[in-house]
Amino acid sequence: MASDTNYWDSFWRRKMSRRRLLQGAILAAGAATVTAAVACKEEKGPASPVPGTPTRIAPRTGGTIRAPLVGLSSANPPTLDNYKELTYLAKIPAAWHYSRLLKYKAGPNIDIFDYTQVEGDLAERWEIPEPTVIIFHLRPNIRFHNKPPINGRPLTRDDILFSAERMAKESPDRGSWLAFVDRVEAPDDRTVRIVLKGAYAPALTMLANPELFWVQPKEIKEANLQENPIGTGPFIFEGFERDVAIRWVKNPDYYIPNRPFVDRWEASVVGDPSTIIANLRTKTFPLSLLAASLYPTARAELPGVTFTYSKNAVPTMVYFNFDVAPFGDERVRQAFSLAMDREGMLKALDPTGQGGYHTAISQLPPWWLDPKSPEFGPNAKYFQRDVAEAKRLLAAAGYPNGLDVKMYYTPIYGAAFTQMVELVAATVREAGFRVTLVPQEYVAYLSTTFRGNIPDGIGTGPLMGSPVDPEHIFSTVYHPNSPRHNWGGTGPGSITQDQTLLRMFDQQRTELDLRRRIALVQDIQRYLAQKMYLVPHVAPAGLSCYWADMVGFGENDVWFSKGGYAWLADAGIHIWLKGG
Amino acid sequence: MAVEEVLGYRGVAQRLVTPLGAIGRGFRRFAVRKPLGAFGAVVLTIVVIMAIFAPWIAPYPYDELHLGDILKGPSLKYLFGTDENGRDVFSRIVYGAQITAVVGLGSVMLSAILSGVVGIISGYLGGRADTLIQRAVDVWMSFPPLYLLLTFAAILGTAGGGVLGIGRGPDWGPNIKGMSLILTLGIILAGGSSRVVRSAVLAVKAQPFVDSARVMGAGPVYIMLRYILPNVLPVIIVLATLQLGVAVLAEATVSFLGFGIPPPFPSWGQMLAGRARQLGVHYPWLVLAPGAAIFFTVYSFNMLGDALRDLLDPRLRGGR
Amino acid sequence: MAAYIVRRLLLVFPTILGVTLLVAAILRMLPGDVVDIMVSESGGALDPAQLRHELGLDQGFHEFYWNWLTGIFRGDFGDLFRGKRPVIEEIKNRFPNTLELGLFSLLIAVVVAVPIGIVSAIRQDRPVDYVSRSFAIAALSLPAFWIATLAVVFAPRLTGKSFPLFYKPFWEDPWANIQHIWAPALILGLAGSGSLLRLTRSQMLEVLRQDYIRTAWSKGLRERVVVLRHALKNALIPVVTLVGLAIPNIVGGSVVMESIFVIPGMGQFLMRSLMEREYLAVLAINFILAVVIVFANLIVDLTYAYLDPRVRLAGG
Repeated sequence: MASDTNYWDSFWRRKMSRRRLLQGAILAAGAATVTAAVACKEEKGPASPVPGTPTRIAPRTGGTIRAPLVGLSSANPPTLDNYKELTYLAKIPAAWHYSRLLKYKAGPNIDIFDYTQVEGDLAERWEIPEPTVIIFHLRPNIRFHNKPPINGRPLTRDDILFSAERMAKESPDRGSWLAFVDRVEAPDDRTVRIVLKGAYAPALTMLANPELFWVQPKEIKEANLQENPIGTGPFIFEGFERDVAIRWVKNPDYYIPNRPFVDRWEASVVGDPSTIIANLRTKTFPLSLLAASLYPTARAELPGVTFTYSKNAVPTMVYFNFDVAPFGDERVRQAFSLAMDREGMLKALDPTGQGGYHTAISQLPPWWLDPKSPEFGPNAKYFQRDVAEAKRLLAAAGYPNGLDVKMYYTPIYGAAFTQMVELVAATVREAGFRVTLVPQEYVAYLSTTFRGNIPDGIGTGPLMGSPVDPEHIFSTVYHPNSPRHNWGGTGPGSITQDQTLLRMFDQQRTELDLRRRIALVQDIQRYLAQKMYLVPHVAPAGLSCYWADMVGFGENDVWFSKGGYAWLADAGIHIWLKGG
Repeated sequence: MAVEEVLGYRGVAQRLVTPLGAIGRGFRRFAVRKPLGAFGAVVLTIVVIMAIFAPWIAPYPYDELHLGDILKGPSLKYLFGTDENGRDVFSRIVYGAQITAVVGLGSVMLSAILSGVVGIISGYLGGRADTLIQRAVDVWMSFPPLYLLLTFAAILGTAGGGVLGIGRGPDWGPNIKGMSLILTLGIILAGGSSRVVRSAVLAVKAQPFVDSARVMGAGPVYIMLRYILPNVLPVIIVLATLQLGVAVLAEATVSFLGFGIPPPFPSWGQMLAGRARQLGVHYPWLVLAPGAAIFFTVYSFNMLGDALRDLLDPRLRGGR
Repeated sequence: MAAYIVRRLLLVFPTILGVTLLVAAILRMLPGDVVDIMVSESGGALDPAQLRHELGLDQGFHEFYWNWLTGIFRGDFGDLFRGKRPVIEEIKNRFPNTLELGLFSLLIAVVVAVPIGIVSAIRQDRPVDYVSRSFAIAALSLPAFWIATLAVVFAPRLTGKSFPLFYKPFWEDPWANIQHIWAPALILGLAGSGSLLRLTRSQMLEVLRQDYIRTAWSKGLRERVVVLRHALKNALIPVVTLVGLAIPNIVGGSVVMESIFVIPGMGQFLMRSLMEREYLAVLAINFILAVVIVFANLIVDLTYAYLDPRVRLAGG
């Protein structure tokens, strides 16, 4: 198993010489970054070294970074105790002040959303003596932040066990944890032994999942530290000013040497796009996550900024209740997918031109199979627009004159999402789907449509926040045992009755060889392309930007990042501020 | 003069017919005396015509996509350019006039009627009734308007209406969706203006001719209709014209927050929200067109109201 | 007068009772509750029935309202369902900011609108009148949130500095505070000045048209001063009423301004609490709003009576 986590490293090493490795790094870091550099040169702006070329620059230490907490989705965290609440806002700050056992590898040649490669956070190394046991050996000299009342004491096994207890008993995410973890043991202060319930292919990936296990000090409740967190992470929590920012100072005793580079971090909780762009423009922010839809504005307002692109790993789908006629009939669902004009939608939604198609598992690398590639096979046709075929399928299903459909959604997911919904409604009309859009207030949507209570139509929206593994997606969104409890119904056309699919789910869950597992997951994508239980939307590229003259990344100053809630711990600690 | 005889109430008829007659008889005279008001009337007429004849005036359907021509500037093909989905902005403006006209005029008329009734009754009757009504108005006014809108939106949705497109319910069509917005806005506007009407009623009530009418045995309803109403009518009209702008802007804010008429129907307020707001700086026609439309409509109605008020006033107020 | 005030004060209680009862009823009628959010975000891992019991959401309406009411008498406004922070903490942090912004914009509106409105009425149909009326209507017609967005976006272009992101209350850092709120206050104030200007003007016109006023005016300068003072007093009556109308908006805050200019205020808090079904927060806000508005209305009515001696308080 350990060798598999380094699978991609060894792949590259086997296949390429060092020089080609460097070239690969440049390409992987974003052919886009190079393109952006070219684009930068077209703009009037200060000449900067072409990003993507590794140069040996010694990172400078010191300074304060101000940046949005999580781009346009920044908002006030309802709590800083990650075990109390589920929202991403309660988890993301944890990466500054807490630690996990493992974290995701980040670097210029590693895809932002590739969570198959892990490295130790608190753990220094680990071994897997049998398929259901993982033994982690923690680093020496791990201390909590030097702040009262914890005052820098060393990490002990009690803290590990306490946190594991909270994870298993209190955390709203405990379902995902308990699905594969049987128990956590800590024979001594530097050893953690995790016993799994069974062979579980994504075990390491899930243990590193920032939705799950963070190590808190055992006194957190008595000392009232939930909103005043003290942990072992790279930054020490200084304060949270509501509607303004969260502030941290560097942890001088952090167990990873020479990190973090900056002295202070102020994460703004303002998610307003105009404000963020304005602050990028005045160089108050050196970097930010953006959104593809903001690309034209950002390009015009921020001449000289470097753009970076990534895949889109948020599964956004049109979903159905299969017990509601006629959506139990796969021909109707296929027709809907065939009626969508995905290329046209991308043109409107993604001015970066770097977007693609979601499949059943969004675009999660390295699992995602591109429907535009020949490897996908014949079922790729369901992603291509074919109005004639859609009409034919609808007619065969009993609707020769088309179908009136109500599509429920909630506008709270933003203007870009609403635009996507409008585009779907407009493009499917030609094939006979007469869609009436029904925007719902957020909680009304959550308590009805999202739970499958759609007696007269279909629903659409994002179904998960930040998946880290296909099993994560299958178990949360598709599987009848998922917590959404047969939202799609249990009738003859539903997933519950699809034994082939359920068997495929089981198979990939226990396939420990990464290459074979990828093949299995790709087969599932092919299969689901035909079944279309969920009709995927398009995937506008993830967009970020940074000022190359303000901020550097790691020892080589080649841009890299990591997706997901813990990007700070995985990639952010390698950011440093340039002078001036 | 025949009108007066038919109506019977000579006084009221005199007060109402003469100014109406003045407007009816001499629009040219009106245009000369009140050029801004006349301009306002013209623009308003244009808006109403756009609303009624939209399908014939608009060159494209309001939701027809032209995905090869996204975010193009104004041209001969697309008079006001295209939006982020390649839809013709000019056509959307024309169709949007429907919502503006219906929601704006409708809610303001409802508010005028409601606030007139409440303000006159409360102001004239005084005493217990007035106190009760005013306290109820207090209760009503202690809700911030947006909050009321949101609440009504959510509730009306659950009552099986689906009327604002929010909640679940039968699809009564876009007309009814507009209706509930009219209802909500009208009631909200009426709260504030009823107090202004009431204060005007109090001023009129204190006049000697009201007392003498009462002494002569006139009943409250007669007095309210014969003396109070005509004298507060200018206030109600001015308030109505003031509130049209508020109503249209309220609709814009509601759409901005995502609770207005559901997309893709192009209310002007909704066109200013969302993507247009983000893109407007670099694709200015996206915000200029709906913004100008709102501006001209509100402006014109206010000017018209001003002119009406100036004309009505001397005949209704002078020297009694 | 004293009797009137006492009577009005006594009516405060049933008014507030009415408001909060209505609000509570409406809240319970809204579809879904906070547990729906918690459950959906957990991917369904949480047990809704247990959560509802823990949060007390499975109580009947009477129990719910009674508990809340008795809590108010104890000074306990309850905790937020998500995060368990006391509601009163949130309100204490936000209410002064909203009040400050609201009063500031009201001041701007009055200072701009009233003098111009009066001058406009005196010089009716002259150029000054046309210009000021056009200004008023322009102010009325432009959506404030649009101007605000343009301001935030274009400011860096024009001045090289963006609007401040980090709000400081007035007593902490007065200069930073002013820098933060001058723009939203100006936008809101100018937007509000439109209708105020028109109302002032029209009321002034009504007063000025009276025969006895006209007679006095024609008598000369000293008489004009007296006339103006008298006219002002009468013209201000509905103006005061309109100002009173503005109170709920001031206290409730402007959601849009607060979010665009990053001001931690009541407007945002109310909207979000409503959307997230934080019943106790919404009730607390409404309670405070109701108290403030009832008292503000009382003051407005008293001012009105002072300005217009013809009005008998007992009658209205």
